[in-house]
Amino acid sequence: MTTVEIAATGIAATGIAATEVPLGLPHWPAVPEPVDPTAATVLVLALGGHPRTAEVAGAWVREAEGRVPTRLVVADDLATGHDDVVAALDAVRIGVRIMVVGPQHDVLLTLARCRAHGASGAELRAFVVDAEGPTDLPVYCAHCRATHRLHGEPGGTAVCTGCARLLEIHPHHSAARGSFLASDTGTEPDDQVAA
Amino acid sequence: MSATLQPEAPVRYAAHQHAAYRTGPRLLRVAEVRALTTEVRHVVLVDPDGGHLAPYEPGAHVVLTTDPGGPGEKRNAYSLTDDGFNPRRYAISVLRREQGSAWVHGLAAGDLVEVEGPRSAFAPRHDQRHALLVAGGIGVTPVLSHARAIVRWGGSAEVLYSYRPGHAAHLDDLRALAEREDVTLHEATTVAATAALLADRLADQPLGTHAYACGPVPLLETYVDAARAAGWPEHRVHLERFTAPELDPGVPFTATLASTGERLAVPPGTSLLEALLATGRAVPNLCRQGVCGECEVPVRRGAVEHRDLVLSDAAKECGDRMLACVSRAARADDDIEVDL
Repeated sequence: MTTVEIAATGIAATGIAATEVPLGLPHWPAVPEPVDPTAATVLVLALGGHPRTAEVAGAWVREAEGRVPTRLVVADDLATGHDDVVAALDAVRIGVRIMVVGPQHDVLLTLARCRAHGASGAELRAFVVDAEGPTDLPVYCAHCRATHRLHGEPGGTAVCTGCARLLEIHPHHSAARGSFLASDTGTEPDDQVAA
Repeated sequence: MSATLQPEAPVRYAAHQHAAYRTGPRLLRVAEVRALTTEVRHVVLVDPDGGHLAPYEPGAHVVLTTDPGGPGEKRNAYSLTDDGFNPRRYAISVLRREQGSAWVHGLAAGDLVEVEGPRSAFAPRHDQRHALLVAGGIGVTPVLSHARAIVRWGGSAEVLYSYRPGHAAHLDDLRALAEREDVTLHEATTVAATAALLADRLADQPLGTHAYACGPVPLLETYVDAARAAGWPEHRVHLERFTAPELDPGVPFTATLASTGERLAVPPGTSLLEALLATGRAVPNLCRQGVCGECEVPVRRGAVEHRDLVLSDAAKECGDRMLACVSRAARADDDIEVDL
């Protein structure tokens, strides 16, 4: 299996030539990746209540638990599941493969949390249930300097819930922060609505 | 027993202009020689003018010219044992093994020695959250350097030291470091205990740990196998070798020099490095056993049988470079075009 480290996001994907990888953006596999056969343990993080999340997490757990010690942590939302995720990351040992599934917003922030705990791209796998089209994303506003949950897509616009500016969501993702960079379009949100 | 600086010695790393940042060949004075065990001597080198020396990353080494001008003249690499921060001394610990190390054992305070470096080939990774440091025998020297740097900069480490009782250089230093809360020392004195300890400790390291090992080949093989068994990704498993396995003489092949078109015959038992040096080409080299990486040459064409312990699997697969001291053509009578 060839594993390619994706620039900027560090999400590992398989079977993709490096030249095809869009720089600065997460690349989501079309189908869930298999459990790494070299793993000593597996931690599955299932985020959100989407039915596909439960399906993918269940498949990963079934695949892994026959081979290695496997733990499943379910977090319906990031706020209530925060402590469980952190406790699981504190408990894992090198040799673990962390497999994250859920909507982009939760998965990107959780991957950043995993990295903050010391996980590297080779130890992370991710699958998102909302890969196509505009969706909720973690967006870092360059003006109010905070990360917000905004609906949109890279290259599109969204109104900042912190400073009310109309932001352009840049195709520039930070693996460390988990968020996309966004900055003022220079137009008022109302102007755009009127247009 | 003092060296004179060889005027033609090439300065490989043009460094900072301040004298304290010199890393090219220069003479340093022996300040202290101390026996750590019956076979290991600790040698401290200082600037003859009393100045600062170039700082170095933990795990770095210096290259000493042993027996300069004599029949046993050789350049030997020795790991530095301090943390490398703003040094006024370079300390090495040398196991008496062959002519070069025997010459070092004969040094006395006041002698001048030609030293090149420090050179970093076994540095800590910058994303390291915690370190598992594994030392076997005299492989303790770079491990001690890593441990001291971790203590200086406030990290945490587990040190695993495998040694023969009565022959453990720097055991007192490691035990002193382990009195701190953030450093743990595990000791093993048999092969079986070392293997069991390796398996146990590799299975219990927190996320973000990097492992580093230096020691004899069997210990490093056990370490790599145990790390693989414990599911460690390769990029977290680091090692430094100071010996290499014996190699067979290899197949005959030819090497074409891209600059001149000249073709060199390389018979079995002769390395490409020796063939190149025989033509008068100044190919840098040091260990001549595929361990140090000094004699890497660019390859333009031809399939290479890589027999070194330096290049990564990806670099070997890429096929654009080879270590001239050990690697050869993949098949007998093949031609390799080197970019020299």
